[in-house]
Amino acid sequence: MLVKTLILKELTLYWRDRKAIGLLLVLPLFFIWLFVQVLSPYLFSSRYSQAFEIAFVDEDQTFNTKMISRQLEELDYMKGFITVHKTERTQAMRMLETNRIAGAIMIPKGFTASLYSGDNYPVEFIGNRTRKEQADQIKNQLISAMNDLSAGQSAVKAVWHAARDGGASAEQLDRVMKDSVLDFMMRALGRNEIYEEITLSSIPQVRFPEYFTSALAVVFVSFLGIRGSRSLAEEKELGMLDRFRAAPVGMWQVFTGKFFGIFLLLWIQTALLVIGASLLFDNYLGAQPASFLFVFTATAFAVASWSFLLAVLGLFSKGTELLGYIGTFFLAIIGGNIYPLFSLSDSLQTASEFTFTRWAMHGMLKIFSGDESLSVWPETRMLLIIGCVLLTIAAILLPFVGRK
Amino acid sequence: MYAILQVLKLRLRLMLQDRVFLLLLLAFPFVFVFILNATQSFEKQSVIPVAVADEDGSDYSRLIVDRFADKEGIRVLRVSRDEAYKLTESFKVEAAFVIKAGLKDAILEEDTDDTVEMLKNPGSLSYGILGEMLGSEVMRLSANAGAANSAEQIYRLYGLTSPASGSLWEKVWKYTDSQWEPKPLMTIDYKEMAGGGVQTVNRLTSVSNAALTGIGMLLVFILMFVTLHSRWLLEERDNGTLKRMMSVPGMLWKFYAGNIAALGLLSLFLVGVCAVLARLLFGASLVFHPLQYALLGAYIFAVIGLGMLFSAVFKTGRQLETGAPLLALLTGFIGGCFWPFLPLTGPVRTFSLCTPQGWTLAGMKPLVAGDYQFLDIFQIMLVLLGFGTVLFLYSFYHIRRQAIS
Repeated sequence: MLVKTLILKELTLYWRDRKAIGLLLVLPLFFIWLFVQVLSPYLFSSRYSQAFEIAFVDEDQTFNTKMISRQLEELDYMKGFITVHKTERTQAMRMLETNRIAGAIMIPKGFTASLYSGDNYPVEFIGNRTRKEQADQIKNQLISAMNDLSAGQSAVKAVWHAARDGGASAEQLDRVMKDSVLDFMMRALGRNEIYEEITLSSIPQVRFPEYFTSALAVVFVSFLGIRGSRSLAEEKELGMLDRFRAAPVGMWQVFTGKFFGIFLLLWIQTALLVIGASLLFDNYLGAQPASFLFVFTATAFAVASWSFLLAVLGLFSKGTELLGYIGTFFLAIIGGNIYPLFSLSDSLQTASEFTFTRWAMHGMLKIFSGDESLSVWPETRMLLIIGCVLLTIAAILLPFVGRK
Repeated sequence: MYAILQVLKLRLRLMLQDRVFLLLLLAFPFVFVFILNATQSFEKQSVIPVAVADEDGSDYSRLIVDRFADKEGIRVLRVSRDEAYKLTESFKVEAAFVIKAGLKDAILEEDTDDTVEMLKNPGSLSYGILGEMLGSEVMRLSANAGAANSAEQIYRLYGLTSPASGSLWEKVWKYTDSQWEPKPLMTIDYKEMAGGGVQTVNRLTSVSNAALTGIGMLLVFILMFVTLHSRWLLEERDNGTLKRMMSVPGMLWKFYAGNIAALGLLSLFLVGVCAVLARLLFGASLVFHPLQYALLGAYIFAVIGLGMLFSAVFKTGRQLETGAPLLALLTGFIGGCFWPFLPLTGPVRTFSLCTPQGWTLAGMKPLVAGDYQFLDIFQIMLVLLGFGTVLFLYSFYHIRRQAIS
């Protein structure tokens, strides 16, 4: 009963500062929007490749070269990666000089005829020296295409020679040639069928607003927790804690009341924030209610424990709030809430396993993914463990407060 | 002037006696290094890492992987299937290939569909080109085997005479493969653009993420540092010093200017420490252009003005301590300090220009890239100086009124 009264008292204290509570509910929505606007195009961008443009000059203008040009544009993996400008030689050179393109592919006049005659005119590729990495990529692409053609030509040539050496007639050799060209051309076209394509990601498949809601909710919930952490220090300064000692109330009841007061408030903020952002950004809310309950409760528990630890530290030293803000910011970086986890070094990724920010974010990501095969239990468990560890440290420090 | 210098000396001595302050002074560069380290992975790499797991382990698959590894512009990591999956899903490689057991048999039987797993992540861009590169090596061996098989079929179909010695299959295979020496039948004529175009290289100097992130972080820390240490004004107001100063004509503004100079000096010291750390640990030159110093000076002036405003507006030092870090972090996000290497457009750019950090970064980016117009930078400095002056005047007026009342 006494603890319940203390919890209610704690909530009333928070309620007095309605402006701050309101701000801490509205601000995150703005920041989720800001992160979506700024980081979405770069969140999953490759560190190793960048989109670029090239020029394609077809001086042969035959059916075959037009087909090559169309293929270049229609290849799935080229979309959003390499933009092809079909143009003329002089224009292509101008684009190179102005560094607009990474390279220019020039199909020489007579190229198709040279394939049939066996003269094999080489395709000309002019790379932009200032964009060496990108030029190398398109060069590799061209060399691979030429290798495919070489493989086909070598095979056709070998079959024809073998037939001739075996005594085939001119008519048979003609037929062998036609059949082989068709056969190996079809193989070259179907070259990518050797692959079974699999897309992998350590992050559940979610939309950008869902990603940033998951990432930032826990950060802003922690900021509210830090605000609450100063109450113990204030009560100490006012002499309230000493008066509690004189009252027929166990100090554990005071601290329990404080902890659950923070916990309840953070639970409400987590729920309001996630649901508010979800309604605003059309996040997926169709997951099992139990999943929401587990993640909200475990997140609020871990953040409340962090805030309680800060509150206890605040009894020893001033500037704990600063430590709380910088510490939370640190945890957010390590946990992958600011920069994606996969972009951090291995050591930071290992360190992230000890942060509540990471597990809270991943729990919410699983909820938003709508993938029912993904259980939120591992995240819930880790959040509870981290919360218990933080609470234990706070409990160990508490007896020293009286002595100070 | 002497009075201002005396106040400056006094304030520096008081600040350096404060243990929390010293801790902060040491902590900021530490956090700075940490964040720089965390954002290093946004730096673009020049070589593309690719993982290959060879589960076939045959002479064919080994040859394919060896030839693939010899190609330009890529770094091939030979790993197990599990590692290939792990590397791909953690975005550590651009793509990975798992050559399934039985590839050699599939090539010999001319049924190679789905014999290689191509693993990619949502960020992979050049996976298709990598696939073409590996695929062309499979294609080469497939063509050898295909030609040999076709020759055997044709011999059976037309009843041709088999070679007197050796196997027909082996002979055709070797003949097909011999077509690749000394060079393949089809080649490309590769040239690099030289002459006029090369001279434009300087304008395309790639800007180091470390330098830009370092500057962004520095701006956040300066704001946090300055606003936290603007509490002297609140302390002096609470203990009645400001009121007593009013009895000495002209003393209040000297006191005000001396304290501001102390904050300015310490901010410059913070800039120096962070610049040295960035240089030593990350090889990034944060401040190398005289205009960067001028811009940073204007920024420090503006944020000290902001700090003075907060001190004038906040009622207690406690409120200031609570608000300052949050404010520095949040305006840092809005100003683009945590992603200075990304281009800002539309409303996000407009929002960023509502903060002094946004203006400063707008000037720093072209300066770091070496692609700037003096007038643009000068305009930005004027904006910052104007911003600071207005805030100084307002806060001084506010403080004076408080002291009188």
